[in-house]
Amino acid sequence: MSVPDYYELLDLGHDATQAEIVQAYRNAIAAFGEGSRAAYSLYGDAELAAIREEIEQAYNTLRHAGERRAYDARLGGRESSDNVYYLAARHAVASPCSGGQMRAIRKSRCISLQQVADAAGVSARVVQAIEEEDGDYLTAIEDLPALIRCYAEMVGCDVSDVMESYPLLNA
Amino acid sequence: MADQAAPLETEALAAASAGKPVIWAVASGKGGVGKSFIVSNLGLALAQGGHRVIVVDLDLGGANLHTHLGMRQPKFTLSHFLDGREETLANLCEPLPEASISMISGASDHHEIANLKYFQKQKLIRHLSRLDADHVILDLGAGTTFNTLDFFNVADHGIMVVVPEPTSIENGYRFLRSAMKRRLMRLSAETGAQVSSLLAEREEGGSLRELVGELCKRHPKHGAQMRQRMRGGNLHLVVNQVREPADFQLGYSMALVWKHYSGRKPDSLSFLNYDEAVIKGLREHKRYLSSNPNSRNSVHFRHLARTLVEAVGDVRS
Repeated sequence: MSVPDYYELLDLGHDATQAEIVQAYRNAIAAFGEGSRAAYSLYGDAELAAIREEIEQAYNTLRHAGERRAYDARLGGRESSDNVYYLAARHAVASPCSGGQMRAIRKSRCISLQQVADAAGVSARVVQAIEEEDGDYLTAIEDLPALIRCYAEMVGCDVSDVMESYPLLNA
Repeated sequence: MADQAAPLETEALAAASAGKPVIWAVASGKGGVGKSFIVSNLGLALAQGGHRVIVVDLDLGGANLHTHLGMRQPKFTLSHFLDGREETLANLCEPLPEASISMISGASDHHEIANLKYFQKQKLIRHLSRLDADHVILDLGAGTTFNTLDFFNVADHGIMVVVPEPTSIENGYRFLRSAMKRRLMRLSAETGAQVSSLLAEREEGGSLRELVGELCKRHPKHGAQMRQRMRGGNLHLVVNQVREPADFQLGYSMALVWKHYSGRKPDSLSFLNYDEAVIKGLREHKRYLSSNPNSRNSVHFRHLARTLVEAVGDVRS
């Protein structure tokens, strides 16, 4: 019997982080929830309930490290699907781009300040300053454009939108 | 009918590979969701980005693309081409003065124009592929006539426009399912017969993905053909008239739901906000993008233009 593809079901790559798994689960439950607007006319209530059961099974397997390892072993060498969508999508950022907007996008993806800080090689306080548009705190940063670019890429904002209109880059 | 439909795609595919224009078809299933608004302003955004663009009003019988572009009485329309008065589509192009964008208008009183004959549709598709442009954007009519579905399927990329209302979502899915069914008609007779027989066995409901899966189990060769046929065609989803954060979540949810149903994710997902300036601009015969260059929607249109151009690059590579 073939192994169901939980990553595909939750719209994840095989290297998904814990935060990505949580976010994907929330999105999937929203998409296939009872009375979902998005599923209107494509799936009936019984079908949606069955899909939600599969989603719960997928989530409960992938969220626990040990179970996920065992599941990955059963998947064998199957490669990550290129059919993954949501978490690869870039958010358009309305002009003028604000730190608050970018914070909202970061939080919607369950990415913590510390994760961004680790990726960018700065302190969480610096990342917070970006989101608060704290120009005074950020004067010590040598290459602010590079840092903002790194932030935008990590968080999933459209990089060119951010570089064009983030206030501290365009004062 | 299935045999008649086959040459349409072959022509467009050959044109695409010969460095001809990328053809985009914008559809919605339901009228009044903003197709013409999107076609005209996407065209403007691409032109501002340095691309040569021709927008074509294929809403035959209900054409109003020229109104969105601030052009009043088009001198020539598609009627001139379809009834043979003009030999080429190039003769029908009306350029806008300040950007690398032209329009071919569909405005006409000809009551038969909404029901193209097969040979007229073939001729139109051949000539669309020969237009001298980087991008040709087709504004399709609402509804699911065979002609509308065929223009959608034969384009390099299809753009489905919805608004966050149940009727629009329902009609959007109906359109996509109909377009997929029409695409599947071009399977070989043998495979088509297997698909029909499987459909007859199933109750109402069940996804396209399950249908393919079942066919693959019973007849792997036919299942593989059907899967390949369904993979063709690039789909981009645009949620227009967004008013609240839940409308963004709706867009993401629709992408997931369509992926689950059809087996393939949309190639992109974009959003446009509800904006009263759209109607104001129409009343004043002004182009939205030109009159509101710093609006949120203008940012979204530039983002959409970049996203779609990148998608072309991905497909070609």
